[in-house]
Amino acid sequence: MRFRDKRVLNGLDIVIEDNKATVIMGRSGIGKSVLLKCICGLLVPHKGVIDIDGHNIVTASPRKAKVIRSAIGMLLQEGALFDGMTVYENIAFPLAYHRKHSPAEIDREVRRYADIVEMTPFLDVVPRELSGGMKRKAAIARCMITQPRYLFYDEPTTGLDPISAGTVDTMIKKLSDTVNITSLIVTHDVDLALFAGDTVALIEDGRISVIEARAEFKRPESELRTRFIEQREILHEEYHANRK
Amino acid sequence: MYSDFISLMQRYRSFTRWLFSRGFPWKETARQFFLVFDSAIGPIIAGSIMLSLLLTWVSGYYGRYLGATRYVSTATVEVILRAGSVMLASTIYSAKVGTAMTVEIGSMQMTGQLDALKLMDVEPFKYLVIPRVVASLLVLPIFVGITHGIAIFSSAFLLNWWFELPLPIFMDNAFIFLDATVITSTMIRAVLIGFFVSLNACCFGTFYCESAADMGETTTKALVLNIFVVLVTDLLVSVGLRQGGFL
Repeated sequence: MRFRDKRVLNGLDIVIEDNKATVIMGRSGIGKSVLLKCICGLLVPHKGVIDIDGHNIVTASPRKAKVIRSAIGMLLQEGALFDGMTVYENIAFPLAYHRKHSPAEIDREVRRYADIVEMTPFLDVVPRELSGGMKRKAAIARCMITQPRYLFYDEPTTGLDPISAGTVDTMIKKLSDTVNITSLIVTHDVDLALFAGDTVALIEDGRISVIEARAEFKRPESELRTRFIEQREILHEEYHANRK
Repeated sequence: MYSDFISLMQRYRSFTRWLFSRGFPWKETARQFFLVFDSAIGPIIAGSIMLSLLLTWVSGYYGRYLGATRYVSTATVEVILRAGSVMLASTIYSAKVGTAMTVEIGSMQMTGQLDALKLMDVEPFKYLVIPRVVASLLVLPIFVGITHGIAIFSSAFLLNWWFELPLPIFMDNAFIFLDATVITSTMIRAVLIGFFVSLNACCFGTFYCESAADMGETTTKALVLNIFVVLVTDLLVSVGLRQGGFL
């Protein structure tokens, strides 16, 4: 994948396991969000294969891509709730717009998913009155209401205070454990990866450099954690060197 | 400049494609109609009064100077009906509603809301652009009609107050040259301007913006283009109708 002259993803190869939570880590600007958007079909890579249930979304016809995409829910950065709607209307929107459900069914589903993400008391509130964590939880409910088989999270805890990030982490883990869903989380939050990831991968130079299972990643000598932290230390050293 | 033009044309093509696709967004169109009407009616009323103040003062002054006070109402109403109302309502509409459309859709694009729509299998052009364009097609002629009414009424009042022109004389002379084609022409111009202004404003909103500065630049471009569109459409349609023998 490339933007103008900048190549972002190059030779990236990963298999996402069914009904597991896979976390992809990497520093900002490395192409984590681009990867998610490619998988959803929002961006089209210049080359490569993205196989979802045996169908390549890169070469799929628009109609086929639509069918593939209907199995995917994605939590975009900061939730991307619609400003002009209440939390209720936001959660109901995917069902209400397509008019395939009766108002009573929509109401039941909205309340069910609002309850799962603990947003029932805030259904009549507009997004600008919600905290960052609440916005993410409402957005998760909006993703879940169409009952996708795959749920992608684009930096779900970025910009949140530790407590709010903790509630979002817990929500993601709760969904992974209770609903039969395959999660793909891109983040640079080590705590989230430790808590929610069954498998953790690291992107470096446009490709996956290390993949570890949760048990391995939890060990203090984990290669992935060491390399991720090393990246930060390199930046710190560069800063000190430049100051001298 | 060239790439902006190409992007704009691509969006015009998308608009046409989604306009004729199944499932017209009636509900959202109705909502937009009331929103747009509500947001611009205040400036339109204020602008109409300002227009009549200006025209009344200028025509009244020169009418008295030339000893033709009796025909001041004819000149004032002719200017209002033939050009003033359309230009004023369209310019205010571009500035107030067009800019709001660009900023609203642009900020939705920047915060990922357009991506969220696509992920929910909702085509942003169909959900966001078509209702706004159709609402504008309907609202702008209404605004032009309102501007006609308020500007003529204010002129009658002001000419009476400032230049002591009695209301019966105003009414006798105001509509000497008025016929149905004048109103038809203004309505055709209003519909076309409403279409182009709103479609340009929405299309610019969907341009990729990375920052608030980009957003500001895009909004300015949309407004400048729309002011030109108002002037050019008004000119071309007027000339076209006259040359075609409709006026």
